[in-house]
Amino acid sequence: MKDIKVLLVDDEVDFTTSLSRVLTRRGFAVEVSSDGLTGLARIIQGNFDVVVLDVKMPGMNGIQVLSEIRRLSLPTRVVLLTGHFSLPDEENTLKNGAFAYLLKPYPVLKLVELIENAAAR
Amino acid sequence: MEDIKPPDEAEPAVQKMNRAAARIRDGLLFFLETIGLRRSVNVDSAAQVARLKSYHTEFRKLISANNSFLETTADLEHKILSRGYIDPSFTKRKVMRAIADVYAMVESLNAISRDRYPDLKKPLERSTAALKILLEEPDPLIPSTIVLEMPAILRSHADLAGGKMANLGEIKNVLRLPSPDGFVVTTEGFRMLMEESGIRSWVQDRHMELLSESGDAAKISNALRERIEEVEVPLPLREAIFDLYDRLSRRTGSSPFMAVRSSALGEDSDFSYAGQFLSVLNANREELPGAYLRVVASLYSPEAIQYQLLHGILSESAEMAVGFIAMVDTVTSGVAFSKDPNQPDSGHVLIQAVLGLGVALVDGKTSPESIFVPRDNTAQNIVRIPSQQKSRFVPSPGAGLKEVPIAPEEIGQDCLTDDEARQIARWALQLEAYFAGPQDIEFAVDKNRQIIVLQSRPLRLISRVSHTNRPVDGFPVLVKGGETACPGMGSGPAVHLDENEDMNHFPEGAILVAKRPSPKFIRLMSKARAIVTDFGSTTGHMASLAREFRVPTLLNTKTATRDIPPGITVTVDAGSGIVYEGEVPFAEECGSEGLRCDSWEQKPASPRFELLERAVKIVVPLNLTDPRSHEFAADGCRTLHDIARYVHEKSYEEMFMMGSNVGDLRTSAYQLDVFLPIDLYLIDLGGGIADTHGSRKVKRSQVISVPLAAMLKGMLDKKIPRFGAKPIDVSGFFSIMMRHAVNNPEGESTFHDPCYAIISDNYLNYAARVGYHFNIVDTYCGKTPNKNYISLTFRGGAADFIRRSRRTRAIAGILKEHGFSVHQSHDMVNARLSKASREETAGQLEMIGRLFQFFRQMDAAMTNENSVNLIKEAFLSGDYDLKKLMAQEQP
Repeated sequence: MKDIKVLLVDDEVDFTTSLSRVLTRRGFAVEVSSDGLTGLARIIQGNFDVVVLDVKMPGMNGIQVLSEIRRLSLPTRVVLLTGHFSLPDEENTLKNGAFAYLLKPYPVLKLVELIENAAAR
Repeated sequence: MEDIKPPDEAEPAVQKMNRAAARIRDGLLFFLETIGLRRSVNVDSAAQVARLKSYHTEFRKLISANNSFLETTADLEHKILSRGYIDPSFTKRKVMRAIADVYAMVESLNAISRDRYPDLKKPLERSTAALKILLEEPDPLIPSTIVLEMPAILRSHADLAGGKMANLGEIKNVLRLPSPDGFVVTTEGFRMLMEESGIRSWVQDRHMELLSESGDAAKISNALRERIEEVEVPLPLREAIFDLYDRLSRRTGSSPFMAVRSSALGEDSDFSYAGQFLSVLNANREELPGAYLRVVASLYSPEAIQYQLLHGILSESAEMAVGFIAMVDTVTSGVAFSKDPNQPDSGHVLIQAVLGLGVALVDGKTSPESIFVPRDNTAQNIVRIPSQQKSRFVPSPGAGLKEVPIAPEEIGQDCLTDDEARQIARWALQLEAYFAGPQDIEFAVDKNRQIIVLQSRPLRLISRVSHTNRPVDGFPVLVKGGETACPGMGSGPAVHLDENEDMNHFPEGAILVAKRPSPKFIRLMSKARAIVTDFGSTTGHMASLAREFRVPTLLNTKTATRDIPPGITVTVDAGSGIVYEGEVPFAEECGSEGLRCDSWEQKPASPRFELLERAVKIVVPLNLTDPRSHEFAADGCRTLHDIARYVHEKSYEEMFMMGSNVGDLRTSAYQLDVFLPIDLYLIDLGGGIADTHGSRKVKRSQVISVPLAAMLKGMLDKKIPRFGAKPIDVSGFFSIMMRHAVNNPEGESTFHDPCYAIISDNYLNYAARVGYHFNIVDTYCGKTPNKNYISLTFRGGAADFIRRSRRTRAIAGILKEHGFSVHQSHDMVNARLSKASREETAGQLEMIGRLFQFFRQMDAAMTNENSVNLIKEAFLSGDYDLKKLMAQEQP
């Protein structure tokens, strides 16, 4: 887990604080952004292995951040988190540049596993 | 970056000696290597080449991000200028893209320069913070109602009712012209449909698929339309449609058949979407929900999708309001243009009419009757061209429409009486005045010969007739063509100016004629009535400034500086791409786009427009216009555009010096095996050299790098005298001068520094010190003109200062003639050319190759002031061995 740089982009601070603790304990280098725009700026600057992106955020949402990541061909792997009532079609989410998506609420261990898989690719 | 100085008289003697010693040492080492007594110890040269490769990759990324950023600023400004419909996510989308591009540019610059621009962090963070606040504001227009009734609709409802229905409401309720009754399902209704039927995210996914390269638009379009037509209209919406229909029936005292038509956001105002959406005619009450779905589904017709992709309107924010309009019992229908689109200045309204419903006319299936009514409405005769219509469309209850033949004796009869035509023309003019621009009006005449206005939208003269506009008679056309950077017209005396010339004396009210656009012309924007250039692109910096200042600007005409004589009065019609000699009285219009300055003030500024304006202020204005000014610094950046401009400029500087800073890379480079007075080593970043079968020597034919091949072609041009003695059997002043030059190819020694060219298929960075000359070329020459550029420095020379400065002036003159933007000082010329086609760029590189070879020998020839021009002209006329020049010299 050493050296895996992870960025959490989510406006729900409670969520990111606890997730960040879980991930740090497991040895990930974790950073947090609380909105899409500063998140995107950090992604461009930061050379992250994995970005965990919430879909629903004020300002710039996760899908928009993902489309900018893709447009700029940034090498980061993206795990999308969605709390939407309708499930995005998995095949398409993946085709559109996300490594995986996860429906909220979800078991934290599942997310940890996804991040590890994403970083391993 | 270390500044590389040529040896100079002023250079301290110690430095001179050190330099000489270093050269001798390098030469000796190279000699030992060559004869095999010394092994090269460049252990990390492979790493150095890898680093060069990564710099090059970063630089390409930076350039694309810069182009993308400039496109975004152009989109933002166009939106401000056109005052058109702004979709809910337009501003956010554009701002995000702008921020992402500028961050990417800064990252790439830091990679290339190894983090030498930390000062950029502050202005970048400042702009980001300001924009973040804007982006997080909720959309100011959260509409509340899913339906609106005709008597309540006004033009200000465009965001809710769509452009078409909002205009119709204004016509009915404010102008009080006869127009049909009805209602509209708003964009909020659309949202309800998408959300409550559970297909919103499914549609978004399809949309993401469309944007991905593998997306098959036709297949996705079908899938979208089928899915939408299958859903249930949510109950509240269904009930609202029936309720409003019943209320309409009570108002009109009948149960009318309805026309169900798209009223997409921005349709007819900002985006024409002409003919891309479905209309369902003649629907009865029960058919309305189904008709609604079919019309909504046409938002995803293949044509509409294509249109949205082209205009960057994401379907995520493409929303559609749908109008329900009581059908008129039509006997005649038609369109009226308040100005004849084919001859807007002919002074008449053009009406085209057909018998029956207008379908035949819109589809172009039938030739209508054309009626020309004078705009001034005096007793002047109406002119008619009869129709050849042989059948008409009439409503057929239960079956939509049917086609009915016209009786032979009726064919070619007038569709409208003179009085009716005059009435329609009067309304057309009234609508033109009210909506502040030429209008395209649909009308119908019912059984009682009552004329009813069905629709009025801006007449898009610029997009429809565009540059095929027939020029105004009686004025010679000097220039035709080019690209419109900012539409509009302006008259005044033509003043030719180069970006480096003094701008203080540019007269108020003149027309600027220049070879290339330059952001430095910002200083003239308040004085110039119009700008015309030979080259340049509408996404460039100056184009952006021209839009900001609303100066009519026509770029890329190719011939403006040649065909517009300085001093004469001209009229520029930037929208039509025409420059006339003389002052053309354009009926006090300021543009042929239907975009009149005074109309800007009339439209109410919507909250979304205000948000856009605030964002534009943080993104678009350009304060850093002159790279040589001391304000051109990271802490002088106040907007994203400033940062982009600064990074762009610095990236060229960094790349420019790359070739001269590489150190000794001979072991990882290829040596070019050609007859040139330099040892040229090639570092191939990819695709620059064909297979050499293991050899480290490269023949000219194996060079496949487009820019290097072009430059070599010029350097090896047989017409240029090679170095070495060459008998010239002529006498006279110039022959002596020439012989001196040719026999004394200044300081070319056997041991000189290796020169490097860093190349790829489309890239060349060439740094060569030949004798005392120092030349750098950094260029990209690929398929996309927007990415192409040539940066060039020419410096030094063995001759004395005065002769060097003469040579510098001759070179600067030649480059200017070739359309370069040139800066010269003392013995140095910096020149840049950008955004030319691949062919033009390659041609220019070939010229530069010749120029290098030609001037290698010309220091000595610069004996007097006169020689500056003579030598320049000799080169420009292809007289490379000065034979013609010498022949003229002889009595």
